[in-house]
Amino acid sequence: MNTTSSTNPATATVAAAGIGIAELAYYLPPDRRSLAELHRDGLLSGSVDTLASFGFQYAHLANGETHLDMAVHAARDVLDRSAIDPAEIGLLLYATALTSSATMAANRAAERGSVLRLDTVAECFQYPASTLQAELELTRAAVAGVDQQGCASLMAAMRLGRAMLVAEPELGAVLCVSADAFPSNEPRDVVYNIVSDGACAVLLRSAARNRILACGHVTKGSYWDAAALEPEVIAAYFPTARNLILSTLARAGLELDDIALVIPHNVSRRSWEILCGLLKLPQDRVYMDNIARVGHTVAADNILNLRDAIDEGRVAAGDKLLLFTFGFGLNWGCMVVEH
Amino acid sequence: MATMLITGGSGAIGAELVRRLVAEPKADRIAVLTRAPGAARQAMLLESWRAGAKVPVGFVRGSMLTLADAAADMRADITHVLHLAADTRFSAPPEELRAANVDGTAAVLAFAGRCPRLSAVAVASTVYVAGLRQGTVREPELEHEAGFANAYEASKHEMERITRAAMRDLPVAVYRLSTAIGEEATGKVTSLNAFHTALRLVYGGMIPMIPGAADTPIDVISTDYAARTIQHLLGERFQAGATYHLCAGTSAPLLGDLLEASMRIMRERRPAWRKRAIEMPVLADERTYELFARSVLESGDPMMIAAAQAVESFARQLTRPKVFDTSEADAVLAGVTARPDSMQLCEDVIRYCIENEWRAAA
Repeated sequence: MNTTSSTNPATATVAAAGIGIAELAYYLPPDRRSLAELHRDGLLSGSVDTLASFGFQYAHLANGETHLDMAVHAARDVLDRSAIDPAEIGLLLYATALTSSATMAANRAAERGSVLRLDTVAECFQYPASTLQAELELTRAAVAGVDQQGCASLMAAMRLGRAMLVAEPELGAVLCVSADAFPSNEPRDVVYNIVSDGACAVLLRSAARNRILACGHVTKGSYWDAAALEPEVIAAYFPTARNLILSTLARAGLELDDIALVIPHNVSRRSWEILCGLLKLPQDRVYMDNIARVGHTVAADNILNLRDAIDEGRVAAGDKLLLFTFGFGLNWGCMVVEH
Repeated sequence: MATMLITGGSGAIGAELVRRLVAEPKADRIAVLTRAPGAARQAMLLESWRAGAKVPVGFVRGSMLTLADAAADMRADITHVLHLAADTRFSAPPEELRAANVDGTAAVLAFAGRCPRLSAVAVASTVYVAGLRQGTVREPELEHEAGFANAYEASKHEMERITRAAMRDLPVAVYRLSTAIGEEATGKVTSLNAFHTALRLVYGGMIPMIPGAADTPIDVISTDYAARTIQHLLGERFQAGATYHLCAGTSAPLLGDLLEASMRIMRERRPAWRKRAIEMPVLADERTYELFARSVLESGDPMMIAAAQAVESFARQLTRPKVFDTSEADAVLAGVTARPDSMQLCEDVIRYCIENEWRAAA
């Protein structure tokens, strides 16, 4: 399925609504290990040299912290930065890539020798999103989970959040939170990238900056068993990525030359070098600094990178930014934002 | 009357050519050199050739390197030598390619030189002796410094050099063919090559990108066209010292059009394939493609490596667009045989491959 939004006349409606990323924050657990340390600790299945050549150096590991702990960190940061009254938030969207992160039992895996194991049916009804709403005192917020889109889940949540604000302005603000902690003791390299734990949060509302101009999303369900179709997944990635980026830009009425900075996922520097070649995009217009120092956070790459790019002065007011992500499922997500 | 010796007669073009030659009473005898006359394909070919043949045809057992012994008893009668045999594997070890294509041709030419009644030697070559040249490639041209996309091209270039040298003493003509992909109208494929392999990988969703530009010509011909032009040039218009391009030339389909047609046909012919939502490969510049290919090698994934290597064997050729000028061939073939619509040929072949699950006909 290939869907996009912001086509006419919807473009005018959304642009008028001026929904944007009013505030954003991320959280990374403090345990940071180099590739050599990950190898030493038995947390790599592939070659250190290959991963290094693909641009990776470090990963963050959530030792003892759950995905929910990290989500609370990131969400509180956004609420503090924005100084919003939690009661103003009408919708909380909790996005996760890993199925384990959609449960409260994520940290049991290592003890039980499995990635995820629930003991009772009742546990199937224990939702981290509800827990998060209570923890943050978002008393007016309706709650929903967004998942099954791999590392594109957060972008899907942002897209849904924006659409909800357009459809129901009385929601006031939407808080999108995403957090994932990889099962402990599992290798950290997945399809030639290094996975970090982390979380991020985004406050969507009518905003003067980071206005969302267009969104695009492609799902290719035939690749649902990504691990069994790894070569096909890699082959599908590049043409679909290129086509989605160009089609999303077109729906924003922009061209690649209009984009000041691409805010990428961190699924390997090498993949971006190749994608830049296919798009004829200079690599210095892609913010790749975090690929080496953080690795690929399942939950938070785009927001992590956007936050750091802003804080480092890489983004000026009025700059057009392109956020792009990819998740198992398979899912590709793209968003054009005006800072 | 004539005795004709043919090498490579059991290949896709050779088999069709022999079928045509035995049907016209222009030779007393046709002998086809083969290394394994008992093999099933040879037996089948012999049966099909002999059905309705006006000329006796049979196999001579031997290789190019043992030709002098294998065909010793017919040497005095031979008037025509048609040398089609070649090792066409792009990725084969250079020494194997050289042994077959250079040493083999040298042996055939040496044998021809000892045939007292010899009147014509036709040597099949490839338009890709032009290697990595760009622009217009003319028929008389051979030498260049552009290099080659693979060891096959290099071996055929060296083969042409020794063939041209032999022109001083022998009545030799060179027929450069482009990629023969199948039969006209039916699209039937009797021998799979890089063209079919690449499309099969596209069909399998294993090719994310292809080096080249949308307007890069992809020169392909039908096996029928190759056979009937060689038949005419050898039988009716033989000219010693000539080199002809038997190819699509300016009517070659363009890479972008070919890919779009391929995707359209795959969608039309295989509804189940549509579910996979496979995208058309992106056309990449050489540097980007090489970075991708290097990454695949570093990944160590055997399936991805196999797919990348299949493309790698001709990848550099796609980044050096060229048009093979056919002026000299057109001058002698005008009004005799029509060049098929290359795009239609491609579409027919793709349909055949899909319907036959990428297996060549017996």
